[in-house]
Amino acid sequence: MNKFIEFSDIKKTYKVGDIEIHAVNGVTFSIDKGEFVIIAGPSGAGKSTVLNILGGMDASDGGNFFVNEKEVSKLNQKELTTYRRNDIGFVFQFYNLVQNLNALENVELATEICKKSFDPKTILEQVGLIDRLYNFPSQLSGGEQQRVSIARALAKNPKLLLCDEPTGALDYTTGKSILKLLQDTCRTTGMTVIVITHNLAITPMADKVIKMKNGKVESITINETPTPVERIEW
Amino acid sequence: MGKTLFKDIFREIKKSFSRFIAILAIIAIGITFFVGIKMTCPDMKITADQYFKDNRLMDFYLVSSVGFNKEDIESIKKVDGIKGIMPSYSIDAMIDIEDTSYVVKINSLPNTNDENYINRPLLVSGRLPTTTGECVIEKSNFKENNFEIGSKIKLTSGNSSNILDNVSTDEFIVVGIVQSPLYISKERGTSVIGNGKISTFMIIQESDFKLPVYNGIYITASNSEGSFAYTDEYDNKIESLRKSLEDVATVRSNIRYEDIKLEANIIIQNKESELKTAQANFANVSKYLTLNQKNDSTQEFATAEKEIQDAKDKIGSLPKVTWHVLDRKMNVGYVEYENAADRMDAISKVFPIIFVLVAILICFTSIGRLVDEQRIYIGTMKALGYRKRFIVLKYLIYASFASIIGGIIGILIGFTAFPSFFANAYSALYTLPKLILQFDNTFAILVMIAAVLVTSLSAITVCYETLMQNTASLMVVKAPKPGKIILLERIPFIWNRLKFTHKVTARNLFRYKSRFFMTVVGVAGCTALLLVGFALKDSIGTIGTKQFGEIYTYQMSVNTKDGLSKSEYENISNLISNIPNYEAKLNLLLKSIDIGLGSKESSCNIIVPEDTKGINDYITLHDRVSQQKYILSDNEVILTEKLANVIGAKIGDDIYIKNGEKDKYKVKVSGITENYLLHYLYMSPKLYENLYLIKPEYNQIDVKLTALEDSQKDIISKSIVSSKGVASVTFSNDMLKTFVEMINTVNYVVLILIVAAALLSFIVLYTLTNINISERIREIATIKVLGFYEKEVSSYVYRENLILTLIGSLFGLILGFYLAKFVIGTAEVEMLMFGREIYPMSFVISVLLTLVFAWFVNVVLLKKIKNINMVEALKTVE
Ligand SMILES: Nc1ncnc2c1ncn2[C@@H]1O[C@H](COP(=O)(O)OP(=O)(O)OP(=O)(O)O)[C@@H](O)[C@H]1O
Ligand SMILES: [Mg+2]
Repeated sequence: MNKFIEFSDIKKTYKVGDIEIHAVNGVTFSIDKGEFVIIAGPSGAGKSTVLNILGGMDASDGGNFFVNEKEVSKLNQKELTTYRRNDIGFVFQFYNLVQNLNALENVELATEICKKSFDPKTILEQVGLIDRLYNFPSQLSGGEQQRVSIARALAKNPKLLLCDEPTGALDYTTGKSILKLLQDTCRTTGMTVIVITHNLAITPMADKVIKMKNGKVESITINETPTPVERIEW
Repeated sequence: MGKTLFKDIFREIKKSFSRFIAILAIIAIGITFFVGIKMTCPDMKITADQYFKDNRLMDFYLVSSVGFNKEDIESIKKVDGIKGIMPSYSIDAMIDIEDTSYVVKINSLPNTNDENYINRPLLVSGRLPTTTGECVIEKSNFKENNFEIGSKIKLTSGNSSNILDNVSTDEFIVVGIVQSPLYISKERGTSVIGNGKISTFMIIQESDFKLPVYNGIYITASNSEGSFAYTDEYDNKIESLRKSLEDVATVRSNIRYEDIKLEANIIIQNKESELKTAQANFANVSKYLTLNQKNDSTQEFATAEKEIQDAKDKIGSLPKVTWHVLDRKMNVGYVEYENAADRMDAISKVFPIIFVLVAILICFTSIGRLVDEQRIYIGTMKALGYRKRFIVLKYLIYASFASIIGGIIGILIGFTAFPSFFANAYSALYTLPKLILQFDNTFAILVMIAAVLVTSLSAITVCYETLMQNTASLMVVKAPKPGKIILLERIPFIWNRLKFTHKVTARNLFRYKSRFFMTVVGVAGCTALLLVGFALKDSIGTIGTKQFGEIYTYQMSVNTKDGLSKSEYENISNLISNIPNYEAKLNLLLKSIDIGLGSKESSCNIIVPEDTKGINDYITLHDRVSQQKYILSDNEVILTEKLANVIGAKIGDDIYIKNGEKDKYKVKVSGITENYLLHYLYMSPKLYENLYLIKPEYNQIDVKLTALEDSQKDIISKSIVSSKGVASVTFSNDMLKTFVEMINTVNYVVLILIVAAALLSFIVLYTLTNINISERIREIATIKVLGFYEKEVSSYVYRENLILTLIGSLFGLILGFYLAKFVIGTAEVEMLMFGREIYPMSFVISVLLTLVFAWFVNVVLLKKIKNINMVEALKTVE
């Protein structure tokens, strides 16, 4: 049986002047449907680059990868957009909400273009923001903004939720609640979730931990019994 | 410090090149158009003036109904203030080229080379005639059939007379090609031979003429030299000479009249004494004659007696000798050319307003954005203890640099290429030497100062705005403008009906108020320029068809000479009735008079139709707006619209009609009728008789003809022109054609306005959209990540642009409407009324063109949106 995600020997090289930077230098891994995966590693290891390639935001220059038996590495620009539109949800460290839209509208922005999307209000209720529907980003705290951002990603009902350091800008408790939200979503909806983090302490909560270093996979660990995030302290 | 500062500035320019170019371009384009259009008029006029001076164009031109003899000339020479005086001969003759014959005007070339040599032809090639049988001919007009040097021209008289009675030979050899300051437009005037239209002119030696008297006298004034043609100063200066010439004209025309009478009387006396002698002889010899012979002789005596009686009658009704003192304004080319130049000048009044506005706008946005991007740099400089003045200097130099380069480019193009473009366009209509390009130092410096002021002041303003904030807040990147609930949301009825993306657009529109304002102003300027252009075309372009199609509904008009006898007039009238295409005709009296109201006076033409009820079938008398027809009553007059405006008369006002210097007749105005060309006053024959105490002597016949072809026109006009007493034959649709041709120059103005509008909208929309995209790059990247297709992304960004463009366009229509009114008002010349309506189509086209320009900018910037790198854009900290 094929895996949900098959990443084989993916490469990405940046050229800065005469120097070639191998940001991702032959990365191979696979992920099952419904898995909660953490990608960890030091700064500059190539984590974000991998996630961007996986999410169809960036193109690789070597290797190939499949998502749900579709060879994403072969898609053209327009097909990549369709792929992002229907299959991918993104959560960023800096939320990237549209300042001029309130919470509800930020979610609607995403559902507007998807066929099988969820009701924006329900999703915002799930992330605990039912009272803040009509607030603009500038009127929300960082944690709340990140929730909106997650709600926006979830509302599209993606097959794959990609989060690049979603707690990077948040305090301990808020960060924890965000991670819980992600873990719960994964468990209850069976959505595949990939989270990048610097924080090695939270790796026990994942089904699979991919450690990266210098553009390569250092190790892949599988947790048979992941710990719920509430029970992790750091 | 200086060196690093400049290095820094240059790096900045390189980094934000498109913005730098935008400032530079708006200044360059603004100045090009402003200077260019402003200089076109004086350049055109100075070129003409130089031409007139170099070639001694006359200041006055005298004509007389009986020509001029030696004594006339001697007495004119005595007048003070004359610099040069050139009596001249002139006849019209026919030339046959292939199957067509053309009327040629033949003028005389004097053999002097001093100041008395006036209206000197400008030699294009070859040489001037030096002996008998040589001629020079003009270049243009015969388009395909230009004569070349060495070719022979055969002349015929065009009527029953023999050409050799007037000139020494009927065959001339072309020795040179010339232009003449007398004929700068295509119009060569009318003739009483051929088809009545002069096609070209040629010049032969004075000694080749065999005329008993001179036809005209050209005069230059000694005090006009220092002033420029087409100026009030010129007009005023020559006034004193006009007075003196008119005085001589009165005296001499009376003397000539008496002379002619005397001569005629002498002849009659001689005839009478001859008759007497013959009768006496007859009495002596009658007894030797047969009855038949007797009868014959008696018959002869009776005829002779009758002849003498007729001659006596003729002396009794001998037409007064009239002299006319004409000036340059009687020369069609001279006046037309001035009008063309003035039209350009009127347009130049719109440009500064719009371009200054837009230049300020572009500088504000561009430098504002630059300063925003450099908050941290500015904050650091401030923290380091640099004075505000020093920090501002960088942006000041940046802006001034752009405007100085832009200004220099604008001035260079504006003073040279632009007027040349127009001169080139006009060269199809006016024959003049190469355009003289003037460089006006003061004007250039003023324009330059204005440009630098506009840019540097906007730079200083935006800089100080930022510098006034405290240093700490400068060190943080400017927070994006927070979202806000807009007014529209409070109207759920509308808001809830909007599609989601439309809500976003609505929010953004109100979020960026300054961008809203600037786009609207810029686009409005663009649409306004377009509308001014099209409105000019509408108002000028249509007066021909209105005047010669809707107002004058006759097809042909025949003017008769003054002092015709009743039978001669009848003859002409019968001739007209016998034209195959003839339908109906109307007799009119046309003469020029002065009228006034209060202190305002104007000269105009009085028209008295023989049939007051029938006039509306020939000349439509109606109100322009309501189209309400007027009936000419027996105690009131009707004025044409512009004339009424000039003297300030309204319906019901009592105006006066001047008769001579002292007499003033009071009449009531019963109607003000639509009319575009020249001034007219209409009155009934009865009223005319009441006022002038004589019956009107009709001198114009307006004729309705059934459909006719051009070839028929020639035949008709030839047959009428050749009959005695006809002064001219004109066809309405010929007039229309000439008019349309002249008016066509307005197309160049429209073209220029379209180009200006296109450039303007491009710079404005490009700058604003470009900044809009840079400011919202994260937002755009975000929606790209969400999976918006390219089309969706661009419509997400551009929908606002479209709406702003539409709003701007609507404002532009309003602005343009008033600007157009102003421009048309200024461009209008005294004797002409421009149309007052702007066609709905012009509004539509102005908006559509604006949208096309906006669309073009969007297409150009689409690439920028397409090239936004999601990863890069989202990497930076918010
Ligand atoms: N546009 C680029 N141009 C040049 N080099 C780049 C570019 N983007 C990334 N890199 C380089 O690629 C490498 C991997 O970058 P990436 O952002 O994937 O690291 P990361 O693991 O996400 O680090 P962090 O934890 O700091 O976010 C780094 O060395 C980075 O300098
Ligand atoms: Mg990263």
